Amino acid sequence: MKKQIIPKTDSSLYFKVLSIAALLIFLPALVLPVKGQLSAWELPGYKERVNVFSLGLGRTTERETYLSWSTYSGTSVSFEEDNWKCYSPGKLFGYGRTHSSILYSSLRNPIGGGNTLYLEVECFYSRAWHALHTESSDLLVGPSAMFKLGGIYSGSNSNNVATGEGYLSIGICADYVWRFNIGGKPLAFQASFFSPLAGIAPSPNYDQPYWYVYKYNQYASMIHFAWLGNYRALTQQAAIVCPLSKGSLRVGCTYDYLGNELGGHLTRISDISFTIGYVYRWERKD
Amino acid sequence: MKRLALYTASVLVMALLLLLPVSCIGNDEDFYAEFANTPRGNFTALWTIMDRHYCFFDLKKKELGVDWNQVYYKYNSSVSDRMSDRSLFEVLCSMIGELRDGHVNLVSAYDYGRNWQWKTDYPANFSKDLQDAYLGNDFIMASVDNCYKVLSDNIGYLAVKGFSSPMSSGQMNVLISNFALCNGMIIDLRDNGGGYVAAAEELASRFTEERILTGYSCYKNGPGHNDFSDLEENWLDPDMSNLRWTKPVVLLVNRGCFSSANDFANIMKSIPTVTLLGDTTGGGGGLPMVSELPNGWLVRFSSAPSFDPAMNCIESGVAPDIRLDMDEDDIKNGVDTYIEYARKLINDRIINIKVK
Repeated sequence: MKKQIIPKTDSSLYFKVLSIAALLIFLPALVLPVKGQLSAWELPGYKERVNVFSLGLGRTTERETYLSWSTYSGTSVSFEEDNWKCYSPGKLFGYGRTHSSILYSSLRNPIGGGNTLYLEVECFYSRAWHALHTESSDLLVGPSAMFKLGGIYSGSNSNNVATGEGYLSIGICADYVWRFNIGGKPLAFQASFFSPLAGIAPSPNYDQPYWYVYKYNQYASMIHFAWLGNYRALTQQAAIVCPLSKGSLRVGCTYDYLGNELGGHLTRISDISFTIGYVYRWERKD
Repeated sequence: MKRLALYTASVLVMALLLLLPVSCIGNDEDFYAEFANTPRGNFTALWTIMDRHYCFFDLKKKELGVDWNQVYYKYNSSVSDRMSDRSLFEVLCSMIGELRDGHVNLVSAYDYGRNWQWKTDYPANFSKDLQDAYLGNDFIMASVDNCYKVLSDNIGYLAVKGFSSPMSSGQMNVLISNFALCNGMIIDLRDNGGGYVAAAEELASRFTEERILTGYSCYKNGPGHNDFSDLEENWLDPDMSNLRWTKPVVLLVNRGCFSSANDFANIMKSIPTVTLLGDTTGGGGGLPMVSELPNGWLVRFSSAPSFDPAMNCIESGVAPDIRLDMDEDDIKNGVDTYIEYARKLINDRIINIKVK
């Protein structure tokens, strides 16, 4: 049986073009004047909140053997909202961290056909422990709860046109910030990591038609216990933050992955997006 | 010093976390390996997809003597990486055609690969010209697929040509109201190629006053030829919120009744007031799924078998209560043997003595 190695990463040309575009956006920010800001990124103080609103452009790769044995890929657009809150700086898990995103991808099979759409909504909520604090870096680590829901719609598959992906889980979250200077300009490298450890996830069983699920009320049979052994998911962000005259600019990339073999069929969905976002710091009034 | 250790540890942790995706996506099992987009790769992909997902291998072996492993060897020698796409398509269609299943298709730009011997090897037992002549010009068109009229001897005649454009609930109420004074109803299902299963069940729910077991269903839940889920009972519930028909019904069936029309025939056969007249239906008792070959051709296959109340698989069709063939002389004389026989059954009240 002749096998083809599954493409693990997206084309380097695509990656390079987006990298250059991101740099072109980011470089002007380096020469903009900064009014009195000594740091590009500080964790929120008590009753403070830091928000980042980002837009992303990326590439999604999807393989779902319930619908097709081929790997689909295509362009994605996304919107992300991240925020950090400080509830009680002195206490364990005194920080709150949320991440919400919506991602839409238009996908095609390797021969350029089989129009497929993918829509994903993801939310995390974490309580974080301020594990490390130095003049140049911070590390927040803590437990998180994740909700992820996605749908794949196939324009060419006539009898089973769509399938859903989901995960309601608990996991871990980590945020790392490293502050540095280039030519006297304060910058920060910010990286985030979320990964669920265990939870429940819906998936049809092998060739279980959605018609069966509806007709025989088999919804319960679609719910699977998921853990790292049968379901891997993660979201990673890596970005550079540069202060502007008001707020900050964050340019980076987000990697989102979901993979499982639930129900006896294989699911692999990954997306890498370059994001550009605006960082906004404000005081909560509660 | 302590701070430096913490700092180093945190950087290492973050580096590990950032590298994690590489380990996550690098371990696909061989079972799910993709196939090459070459003639051989596509051939192997089709054979494998069918091997893991098709649900009637045992039945096809019993009825047609098809051994899927032998099929591989039979066609393997016909495939080479130098052959044209069109030649490959023909070989692949021949391979899946061995199963003689109307729900097994290969879809490409060249053709909609199929084997319709389950229909074409048998008498047609249907003439559209004759049906049109019986309907005349004064029939009521409830939907694209559903036409009806009251025949001269006060028998309602409903032609159900498909289940893709079903009647609405209101249209069914009007139909039953229009037939209210009729002595019986003839439902002409001949050459109905199917459509929505739900539409077939909804129509059938107008012909019973009580809940009836109509069969069982299951689906493939693993790659083995005998990996099936538990059987689910199929019950027909009367549509108590709408008008129902309780007088005699004669359902005209032929080999052209396929898929959800086959399901409809199976359901109606379980209703005491319904008599199936004609030829065995064409079958198609498996709910289909669709997958894809590396070259983009779509492959459709049956994955969920259905059974009648006696646990007979209905993939090969539903037998009529009364076997009948169209008479050639009748056709020449503009007479539909099926419709006339059905009228006689209703007019002579023969149906009333039929014991289910």
